Amino acid sequence: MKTVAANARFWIAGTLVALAGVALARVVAPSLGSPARLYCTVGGQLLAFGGLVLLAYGVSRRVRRDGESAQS
Amino acid sequence: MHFQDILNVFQGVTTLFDSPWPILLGRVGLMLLGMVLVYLGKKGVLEPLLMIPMGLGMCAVNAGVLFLDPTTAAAVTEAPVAAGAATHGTLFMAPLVQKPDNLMYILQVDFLQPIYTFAFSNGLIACFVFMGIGVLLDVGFVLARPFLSMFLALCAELGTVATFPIAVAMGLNYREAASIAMVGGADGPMVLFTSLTLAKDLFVPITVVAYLYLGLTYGGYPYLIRLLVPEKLRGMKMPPKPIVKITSDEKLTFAVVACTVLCLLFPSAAPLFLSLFVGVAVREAGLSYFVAFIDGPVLYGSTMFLGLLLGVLCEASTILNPKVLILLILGILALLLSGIGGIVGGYLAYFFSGRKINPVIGIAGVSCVPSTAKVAQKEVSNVTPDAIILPEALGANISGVITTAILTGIYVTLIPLLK
Repeated sequence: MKTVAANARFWIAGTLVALAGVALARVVAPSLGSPARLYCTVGGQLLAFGGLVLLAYGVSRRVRRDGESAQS
Repeated sequence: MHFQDILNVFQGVTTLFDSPWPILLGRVGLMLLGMVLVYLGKKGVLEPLLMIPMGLGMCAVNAGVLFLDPTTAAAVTEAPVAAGAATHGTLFMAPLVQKPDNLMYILQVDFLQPIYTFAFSNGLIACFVFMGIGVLLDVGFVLARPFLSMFLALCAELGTVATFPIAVAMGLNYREAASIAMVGGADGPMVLFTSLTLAKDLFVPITVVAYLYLGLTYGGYPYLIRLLVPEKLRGMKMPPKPIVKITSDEKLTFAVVACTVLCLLFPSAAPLFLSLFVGVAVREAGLSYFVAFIDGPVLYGSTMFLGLLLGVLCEASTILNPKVLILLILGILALLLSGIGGIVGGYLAYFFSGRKINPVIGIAGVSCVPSTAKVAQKEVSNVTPDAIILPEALGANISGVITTAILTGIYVTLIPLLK
């Protein structure tokens, strides 16, 4: 788990962003009226995917950094 | 002994000529189609693991129709049967029976009914196949190139998205349209899950169409690549990259977070997400006994029974539906659009990367794991034998599985809300 802990910033941020998206889509959206509900659901889903992409970006960044340090 | 008694000995033939013309032609046609599928499976043109049991099932179910005894006929038709009435049926299974009493009776008569009721109609087989796919996936390819992989996978969902309005325009309802549109995702278990959830009355033809066409991707997509990507670009080498090492801890953590978030977002598709990510988790946790179990008996056992059940479901009276022709057109359209979308995505990646990315990678965004990635690499190797695009292609391919699962979740969740 060293590689995960060393990159904790992205893991925590990505998970929180994804969970915020879930909350928006599943908790906030159902309480809204007709057009706002749709926007909120779609926005929440996109935010949740964004969170997952942020996690993946963190990993790819760590890999790039490790590759550069190995070359130098 | 009367002539009638002799006819009763050979009920498969007697019921054939006792059927209305469309059913007679359907039965003969499906028997022949079954034989063709077995032949093409053996030749390797279509996926043999699926096509050989499916083809044989089609032959057997359409040949083995008999006159049911009154008790079984009443259970199968779920209506009182008049004395002396000749009801046709088989001893394989009765997919349309729903009443618990009739179901309990049929479970003791039809030999495949237990597998159909307890493993097929609830999506268990689809989930088992997905678990097997999960064990075969290496999410490290996605984590190494997240933006490229996700972008290509999204482009390759063109067929899944664009076929939906076309299907509605062609007269299908929203549920049927979403089910046939999922063929564009090129992922059999996902089509099975969506059609079982949304369009149970059409799930047999939709799933059969899907699996038939998925078998053709390996043969058809190379021609699409050659048509849309000129040889010079196809043979393009990509700049070498250092070997990346994504640790199993990172992959496992990603699987846990992604599974939780996606299940929270789309509870209707949670069984699929769990199945996929439990496969990934078992692999990354190094549970070799579980990997061997899922990778072997679970995946291959499920594939065999899936093929057999799909074949047995192709009984003429079940599958002959006026909508089948529309489904055949929409299925091929969905796969074609997804392939085109993937290659367009490949071209966009080529231009935005400063002409460094081979556009052929785009086709791998279609999530037929690992066929489309292998097709992409093969087409590139045919032009430049030492050009390697497989790591990037596999990243797009695995992202394709995830995006198709997400689209399944979106369809299964949102379509029932549409009026």
